[in-house]
Amino acid sequence: MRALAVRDLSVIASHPAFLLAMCVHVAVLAVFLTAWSHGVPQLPGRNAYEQQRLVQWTTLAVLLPWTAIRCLPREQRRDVALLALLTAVRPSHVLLSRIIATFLALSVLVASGMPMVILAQQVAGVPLPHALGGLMSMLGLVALASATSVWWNTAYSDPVTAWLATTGTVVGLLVCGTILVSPAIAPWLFWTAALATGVAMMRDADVSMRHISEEPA
Amino acid sequence: MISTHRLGKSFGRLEALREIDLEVAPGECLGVSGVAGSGRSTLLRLMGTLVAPTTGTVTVAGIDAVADVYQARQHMVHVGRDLPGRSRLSTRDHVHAVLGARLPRTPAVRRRATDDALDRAQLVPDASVDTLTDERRARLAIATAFLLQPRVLLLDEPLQGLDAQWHVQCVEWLREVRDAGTTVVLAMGNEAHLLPLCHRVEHLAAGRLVAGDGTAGAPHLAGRPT
Repeated sequence: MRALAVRDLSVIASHPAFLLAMCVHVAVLAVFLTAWSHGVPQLPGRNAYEQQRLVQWTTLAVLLPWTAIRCLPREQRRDVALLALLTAVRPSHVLLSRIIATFLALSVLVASGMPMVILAQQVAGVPLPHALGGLMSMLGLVALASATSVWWNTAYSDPVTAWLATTGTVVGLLVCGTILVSPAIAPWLFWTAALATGVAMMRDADVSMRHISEEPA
Repeated sequence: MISTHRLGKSFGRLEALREIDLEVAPGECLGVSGVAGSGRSTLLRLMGTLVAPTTGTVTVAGIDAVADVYQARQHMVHVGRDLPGRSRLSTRDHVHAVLGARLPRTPAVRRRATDDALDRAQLVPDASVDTLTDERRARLAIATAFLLQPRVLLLDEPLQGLDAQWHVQCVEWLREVRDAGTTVVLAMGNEAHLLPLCHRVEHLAAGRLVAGDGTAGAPHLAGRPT
């Protein structure tokens, strides 16, 4: 399974869109900090770190699904079944490897914004452990984006549909989690949703992808 | 090593295979011949667990391949026209990943074995799998399968679509694999190059095995494969 995770990780990381996404992420955070230092935008009662955090969550909610769908191997159910056959690995393990690879790659994408986050933390005078904790809570969003992107990428051959479906799921749950439930509980909600998606996908894979499609040879 | 018992497959009303009983001994090379549409590829796909049979059983290395598909696959490799695509991997990375998933070896050993196999198959290691021609994809599939050294190798018309200049090399490579003790089942159309490799040839007609002495079509070979 490790070999397949490394395979998928190398496919994702070598895609130019992955580097582009990192640049966009860092640029958005940097532009925000620069603009904030000139007095715009200002949200009453929030310091630079809190405002930047809001910008980062919003950016990543769109950027993570796009990066995942853009960079994942374009392999649908039949391809997964064939890969499982060739490697003598269960289809569920192929998909689990893919989720792990996507999670690792997207974690690097989130971590790329760390210098800007620390800069905002310094400006706002927020304790560093608090800022690091905030970054860790984003891993819930990463897990959610990883699981749902692999799900939709496998289900739809059209990347635009897969991207819209993944973005819809991630943004929908982000809005539900942070606005309707509680920002403190939201990361746990994301982790739960990611886990549920992963388990459902793996349970289905070993049955529905056991064989390739039934057509006369 | 691999056997079928009353194996059958229907696609809706179309009965592609009926009551196939086969027994292939360890190290044996069995040829399956027949005209197009006789059920050769379907038989190999059933034996390779690509599709589920409608009736009957397949046993691989003592494992019921119908009930325990994933366990049975550990022992065999099927090479046909179904290849996973759109991975954006290079040929080297593709083979390296498959080899890594199948055989736990150190990366350096895997890398060396991969490069040797690609060199022998005359494939560029850095070429993208997605952009390979069908002929090169077929070569890649064969090279990967040979490299995996499975106990059972199922080859569905392996020379079909290959350049004529590569036929001889492929046959030579296959002979080495067979001589190393791999059980081989070959589906053949008019591939005369492959006949000398077979210990026995079975004929399929309209989805049934045609009764014979097991060497029909290659009587000059009777029990003396080269």
